[in-house]
Amino acid sequence: MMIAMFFWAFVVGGLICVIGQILLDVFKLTPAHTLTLLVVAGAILDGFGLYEPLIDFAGAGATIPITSFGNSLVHGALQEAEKHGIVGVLTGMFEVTSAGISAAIVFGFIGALLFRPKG
Amino acid sequence: MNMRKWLFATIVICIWMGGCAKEQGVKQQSLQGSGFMKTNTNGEIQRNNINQQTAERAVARIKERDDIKDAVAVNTSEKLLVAYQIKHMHRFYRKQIEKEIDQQLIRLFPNYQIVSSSDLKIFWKTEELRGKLGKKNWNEQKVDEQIEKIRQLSKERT
Amino acid sequence: MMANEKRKKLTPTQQEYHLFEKERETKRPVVKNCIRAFFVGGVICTIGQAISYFYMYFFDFTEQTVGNPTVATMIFLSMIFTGLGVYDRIAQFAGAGSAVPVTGFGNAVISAAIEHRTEGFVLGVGSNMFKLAGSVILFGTFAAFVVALIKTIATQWGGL
Repeated sequence: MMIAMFFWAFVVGGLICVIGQILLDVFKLTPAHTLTLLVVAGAILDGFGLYEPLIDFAGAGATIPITSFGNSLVHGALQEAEKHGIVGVLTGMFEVTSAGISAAIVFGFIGALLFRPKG
Repeated sequence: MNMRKWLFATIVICIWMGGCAKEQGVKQQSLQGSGFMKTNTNGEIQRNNINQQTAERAVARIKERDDIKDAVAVNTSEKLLVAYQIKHMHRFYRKQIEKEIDQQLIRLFPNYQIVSSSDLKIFWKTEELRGKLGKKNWNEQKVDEQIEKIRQLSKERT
Repeated sequence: MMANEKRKKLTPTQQEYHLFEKERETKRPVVKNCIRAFFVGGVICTIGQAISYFYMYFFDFTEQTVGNPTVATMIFLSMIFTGLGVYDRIAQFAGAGSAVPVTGFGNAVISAAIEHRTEGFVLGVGSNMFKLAGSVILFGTFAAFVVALIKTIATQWGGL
């Protein structure tokens, strides 16, 4: 069970990174464009209900790549929309994603306090 | 003579009745005692092992499905907790499988409140609970509480 | 299209130079980069999986809820490695393999924060932190808004 999960997390996570690399190298996008495109792709995939099965299948292989950011934004919005109607789309957006952004902000600041710029 | 006869009869009756009364009292006492013992042993039985037949049947039924790798279940007289692991290649269809199994269980065990999950954590928790069932200080109420806790855990989404 | 039009406006010598430049441009080793990205990205996701099993085993997290603490932990690790200057070295080797996972997002935020520290905490760290990651948040949020809106309308009023 767990070994299969690790294996597929490795493969799926790796493949999503390969897609990113292809966007960088073959389509010559900047890193910012690549990441943006992947996040949007994650949001759209979740709109079609395709990202959740991938998470069930690959675990962290699907939740660690930035695509899951788009997925969880949509997820939070839909969850809240189910409860409170159309207003929930706005209010629920960061319900599920909060961890990624708040962790980035908090640790970003702590990092700035702890470390000095290199070079 | 007449006097003696009456006296004798009265004494005999008195002794007899007294004896009877005594005997009845003893009988009643022993009856009470056995009744007390009975309920006591009943309680003992329920305390030590809640009948797990339903759980075993549910496990057997779920293991029949070819997309399920493993299953474990615990039941009380009201609740049935079933946790299972989906074979990895079938995990894409997890939502659908969960729905199917839930419906199947509701059909099979209409008298129980059913909690079912394919989550690995719930599987571990159910296994743990299953192992604890044999212990002496576990009664049905406690198991019910544990099942309720696990149900709430399985409902959390964020 | 734009590039073609632009090229037509160029003088013949410029066009010649353009072709020359294109010929001499170092070809990116796409296959090699992809293999590197695959392995490094895969390893990062496997570490993430290990962390989520850790949280599931020792704390009351289910497969559904384990995502948040895992992501937070990964970003914490990314802070440590960015601060020590290790993450940039991994990124040079791995390309998208280290940029696509959330650790890359964390790295973008944290390295911007550290870099602008000298300009002060408010004007430097505060306003530059999301320089790189801001577009990810903006477009991610907006795309999610549109997708969720369409889906909500479709399910609630369209009865799909």
